[in-house]
Amino acid sequence: MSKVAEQTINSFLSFKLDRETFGVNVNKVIEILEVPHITKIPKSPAFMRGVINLRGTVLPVVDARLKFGLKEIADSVNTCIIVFNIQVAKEQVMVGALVDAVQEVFDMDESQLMPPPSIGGKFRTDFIRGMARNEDDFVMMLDVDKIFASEEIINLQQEVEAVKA
Amino acid sequence: MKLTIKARLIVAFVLLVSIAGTMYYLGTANTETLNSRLGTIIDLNVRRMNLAGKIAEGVQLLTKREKDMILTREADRLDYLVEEFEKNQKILESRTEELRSISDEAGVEIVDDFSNSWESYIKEYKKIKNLAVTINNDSTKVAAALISRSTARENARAAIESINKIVKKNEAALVTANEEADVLYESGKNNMLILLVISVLVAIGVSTWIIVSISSSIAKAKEALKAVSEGNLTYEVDNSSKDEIGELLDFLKNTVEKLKEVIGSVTTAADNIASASQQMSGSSQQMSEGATEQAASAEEVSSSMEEMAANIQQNTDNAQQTEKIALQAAEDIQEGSRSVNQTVDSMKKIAEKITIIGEIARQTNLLALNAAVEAARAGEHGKGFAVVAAEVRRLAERSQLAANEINELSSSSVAIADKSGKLLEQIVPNIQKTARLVQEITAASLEQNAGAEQVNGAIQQLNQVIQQNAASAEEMASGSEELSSQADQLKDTVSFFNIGHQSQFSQSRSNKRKKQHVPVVHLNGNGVPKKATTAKTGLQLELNGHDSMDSDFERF
Amino acid sequence: MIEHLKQKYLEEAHDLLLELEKTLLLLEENPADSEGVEVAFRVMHTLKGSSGMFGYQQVSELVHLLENGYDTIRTNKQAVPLSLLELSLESVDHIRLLLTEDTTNTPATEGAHRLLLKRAAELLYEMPAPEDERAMPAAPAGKSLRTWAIFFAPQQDMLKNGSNPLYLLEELAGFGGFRSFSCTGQLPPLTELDVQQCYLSWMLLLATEAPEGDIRDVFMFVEELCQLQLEPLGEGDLLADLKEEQLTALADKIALALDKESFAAYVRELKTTTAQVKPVVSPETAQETTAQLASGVKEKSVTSIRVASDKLDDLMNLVSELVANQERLSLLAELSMMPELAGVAEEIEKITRQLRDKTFDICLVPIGSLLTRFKRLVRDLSQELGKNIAFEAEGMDTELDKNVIDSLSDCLVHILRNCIDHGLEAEAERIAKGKNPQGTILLKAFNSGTNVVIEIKDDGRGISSEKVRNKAVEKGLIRPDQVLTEKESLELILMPGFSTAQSITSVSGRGVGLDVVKKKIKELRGEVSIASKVGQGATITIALPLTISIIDGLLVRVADTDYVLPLSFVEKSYSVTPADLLNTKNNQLILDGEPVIYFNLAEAFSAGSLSNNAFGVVIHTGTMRMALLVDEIIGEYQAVLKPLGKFYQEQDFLSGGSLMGDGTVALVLDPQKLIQEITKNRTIDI
Repeated sequence: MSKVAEQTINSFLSFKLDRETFGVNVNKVIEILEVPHITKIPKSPAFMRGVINLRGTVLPVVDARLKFGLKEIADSVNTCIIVFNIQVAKEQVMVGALVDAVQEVFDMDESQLMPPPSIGGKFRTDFIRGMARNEDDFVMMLDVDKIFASEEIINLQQEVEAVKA
Repeated sequence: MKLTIKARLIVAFVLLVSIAGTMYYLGTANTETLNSRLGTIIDLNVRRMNLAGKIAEGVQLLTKREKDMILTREADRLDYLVEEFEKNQKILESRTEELRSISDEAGVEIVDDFSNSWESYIKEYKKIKNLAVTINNDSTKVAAALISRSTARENARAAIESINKIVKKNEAALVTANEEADVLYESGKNNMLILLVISVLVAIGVSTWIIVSISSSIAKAKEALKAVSEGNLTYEVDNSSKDEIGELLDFLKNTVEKLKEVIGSVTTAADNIASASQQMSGSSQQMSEGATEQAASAEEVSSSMEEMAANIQQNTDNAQQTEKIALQAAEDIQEGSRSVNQTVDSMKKIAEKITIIGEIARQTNLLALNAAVEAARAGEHGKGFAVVAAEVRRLAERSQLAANEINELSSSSVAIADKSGKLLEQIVPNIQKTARLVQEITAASLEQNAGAEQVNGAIQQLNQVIQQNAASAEEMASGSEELSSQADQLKDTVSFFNIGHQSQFSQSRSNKRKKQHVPVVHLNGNGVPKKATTAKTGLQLELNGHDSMDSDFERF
Repeated sequence: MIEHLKQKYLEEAHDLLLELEKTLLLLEENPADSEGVEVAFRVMHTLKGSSGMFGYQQVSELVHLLENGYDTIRTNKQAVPLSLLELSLESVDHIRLLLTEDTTNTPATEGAHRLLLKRAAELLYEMPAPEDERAMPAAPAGKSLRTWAIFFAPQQDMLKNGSNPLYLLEELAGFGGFRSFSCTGQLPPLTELDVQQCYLSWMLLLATEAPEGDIRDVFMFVEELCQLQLEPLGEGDLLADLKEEQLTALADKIALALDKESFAAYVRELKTTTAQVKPVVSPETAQETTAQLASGVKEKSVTSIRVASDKLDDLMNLVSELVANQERLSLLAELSMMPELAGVAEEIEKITRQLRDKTFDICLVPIGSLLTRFKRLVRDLSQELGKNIAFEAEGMDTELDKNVIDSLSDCLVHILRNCIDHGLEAEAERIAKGKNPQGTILLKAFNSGTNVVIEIKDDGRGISSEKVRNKAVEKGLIRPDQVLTEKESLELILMPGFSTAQSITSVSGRGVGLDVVKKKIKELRGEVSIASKVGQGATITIALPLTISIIDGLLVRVADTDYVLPLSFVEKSYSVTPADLLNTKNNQLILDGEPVIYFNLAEAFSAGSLSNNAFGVVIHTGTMRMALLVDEIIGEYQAVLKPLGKFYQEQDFLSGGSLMGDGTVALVLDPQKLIQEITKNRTIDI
């Protein structure tokens, strides 16, 4: 897996959170799961939903909604877990992210990515790599490494607004 | 004299009775006077005499005892004597007092004399006693004897004399009483005789007066009644007296007047009856005709009723059929409802299965996504597979969409089928209700049928009644003829009385012989008028002709 | 098939590169390490051979040049020049680049490749001449020569897979004295001959110093495609002793027929002939051999085989899953009321348990496997620093999970370095202090309860807590007024950015090291503590939990989550009703007439209330006894421990998760940490 991580892959997986569409490079994605029984871990932050059994390994699951400061909603039939392979402190770590719905895999050249506007320090746009237009939808490209390395709740709404502005 | 016979009789008897009463009084008064005289004699005088005798006796006894005391010396004897003496003394004194109470003034004086004498004696006695009894010795005895023979004796004698005076006085009184009674008897006898004579005279006078007054009036009445009995109602009754018989005459006169009026009105009435009976005869005819028409109508009604009954029967049949159809329909609809429910169930199952398909599609979608991710990460080598994955995903999406659509469709069809099932279920009770109503209609038709039968029976009855009515009308016609002849007879009878107007009778007699034939229709038992012309029923007419009515018919 | 093999080659090459890199780094620290040179040479040799075979000519030529350099050094027993090491490392990076297909032929890499080749050639040219047998104390005495008979019979389609047996024979010839006898008996007539088929088989005689493993390594890529048999004929070079006639006779025989049985017969024959020729092994050699065997820590047992560690991990995982499913089966069997099923389940349970224990055993590595490394380290360092140090080890057969051992070795290296650098005095200083001139470092490992304790003790100058404290204040790590116990003060040196050494030496004193140790040990769920007496030495103690990945536990339920309490901590279970809790004082519950502090897990973990018929599980660690209130006790459970990962490091009262039969995850509690957590909160509450 680590071999291909170095390559540049121009495929992206898009998913929904609230009303926004986000995208991540598929090389960060291991797979997509339906939501199984999640074991809660006591005394952990709310956005850490708990752990699941991913074919013999224990996979931590982050509720992306809560992580991004959105309000909590009940899991629906479309709710999925995207298993990411992220790099934290030079280590490859697997983490599941609970998202509202997964949409599709689409190809796009990195060069088509519109860089996030650098607005003078008011909002950090660290977590968004850029913005892309897929068909007639705007897709925010997320930097999952940074997102999951951060232990705080990210106010994504602000970021999204900042990017859109 | 306006006195009535009653008053006269009363006066006569009152006079006679009062005379008898006076006589009775006088007799009674005399007898009573006699009676009282006798009483007085017996009660007072005889008793005084009796008492006085006893007293005298007592005095003698006492004196004797006194003597005994002196004579004896024995103590016991003395005691006994004293006791005896004192006892008798007391009896004597009480008798004295009694005598005093019933004595008249003169008598009392005499009694007082006695008492005085007695007291003096007692004083002496006490001396004797003291001497003879208490001291009781010879000297005393002697002294006592002395006293006894002297003063004591004298006093006792005086006392007895006084008593004797009383006896003598009373013997005299008795003699005078006897003389007075004789006088009284004589005067009474004379008074009675006088009164008897007076009463005989009065009785004769009064009776004569009464007889004379009654006999004249009765004669007048006899005269009047004799005229009426001869049919003469025109007789005038003469009446002058005002007493009871006079009143009788007045009434007689009124009676004749009234009779005259009655006979007049009876004559008029008989005339009227005769004409009315003729009219009645006509009415009967008309009635008879009416009955014929009624019978015809009844016939028509009867046939209409039969027609109606037939219609009702048809209604009943139709209703029963309708009911059967309705029940069948209800069953069919229930069957339909069941089918719809089954359909709903099946659809629900389909929906479930479709859900599974949707689920599979969703999972396929996920798988395809996973495959796409995998393919994308494989880079160039995965390109082909990525296309396949995308295709699979698209297919999965489409099948999911389709599944969703089917799901929606099936859920809406379920809703519709549900609704139709419910509607059908709602219809069932309505149809059942209809069936019930039709059943009721059938029942009602049956009842109607029975009603029609009843009506038919009633019409038959009516027919009979009509027949009876016709017969009655016939009878009535004959009755009215009879009545007319009776009215003539009545007129004949009443003509015996002479009331002073003869013209009325001759007029009624001119109509008398005019006879009328009243036609009567014969009806057979069914109330259908028989037509004599019809050959078939002709025989029946003959048979029917033998009933009792024929004889009535013949008599006219 | 070629693709498959190529893939295998690439993996192998990457591994080899990794190993080479590691060795090179070690050599950089200790360029005189001949063993490292050996390793580097051997790795390069293997790499060269396989690369050539799969057509990576560029790799092959570069490695060949470097290999020559190391060969020279090896034979001359020289220290590796730093320039060569640097070049080697650059080459490693370059080869990695070359191995990724798409970038092979770009002009940039081409240029870089040429440059490297040129530099390598220059370097080889400048290579210093062989020096005299300079003092290289650790240099091993000449290895024992041994003669092997090898039966090599490739399958007929071996050529189709791109393997050329001749290359293998050539490679073997490189090992030493070599004779090959081929059997041509299988050759069909020419008309029927298929040029793509291999009809030949060989019997090879090889006199070499290389161990059996190395010989086998030659055949590594064709292992599955041939029949291979290795038979030692005897010590020494028997080839030279054999007469030519004998060999030709043998060759004639072999040419006609060769298979396993005849090979065994030939071997027997050869053995007798050689025995006749050289009946006894020379006594010195024998002595040498035995001495080597005795002194060397059993580096490789003859019967053991190398297994890729991830295969072991896979095995472990499979066993874990098997255990989890077996647990489920047992549970179902219990519920099903079928005696037969229960019997089967019981049997399976027994077997599973055995399998589990064996697998554990496989995964456990004695700590002694690290010993050589430490010894060399100590030796090298003490030489570098000019200190006289004796290194002693105790309890080296204490076993630890191999993953732990891997992580632990770096830590221990750090600690040992610190000891040698800072702890132990120079010889002169020691004499002045009246101590034994030779310093001692004792590495001691032992089991203590559920922990494995590793102590590193030196008799050096010790650590002055006062000094440490001053230093910490100076560095701003603590406030000057902060009150600390001596132990706490000492443990300040484990904080990041702390270094007490006045001068920065090449060995230590960079201020990184001990804090890294602490971090690593913490990752292993262990503890580090320090004790010291000034002037007498210091002891660093590492306590590691026995990382047994399957533990016998008590499965309990709190709210809707399952927890596993390790049975070794569980004392007894009681039924607890809400009424019992109503009249408690000081958080104490009377159980069996004794007051026990209790802790309501439902309240603390799920903010819910306890169910009406709850249970109290009394646990006891060495220091505390406590009742944990849970909603339900499900029963005994073999929990397969899985790490919860980085995201749940904060929740260290959980030693991990365990996969349940139904696919959910149960959480395994660490009673010691849990009690620490509880008591910590308690004091804060007060």
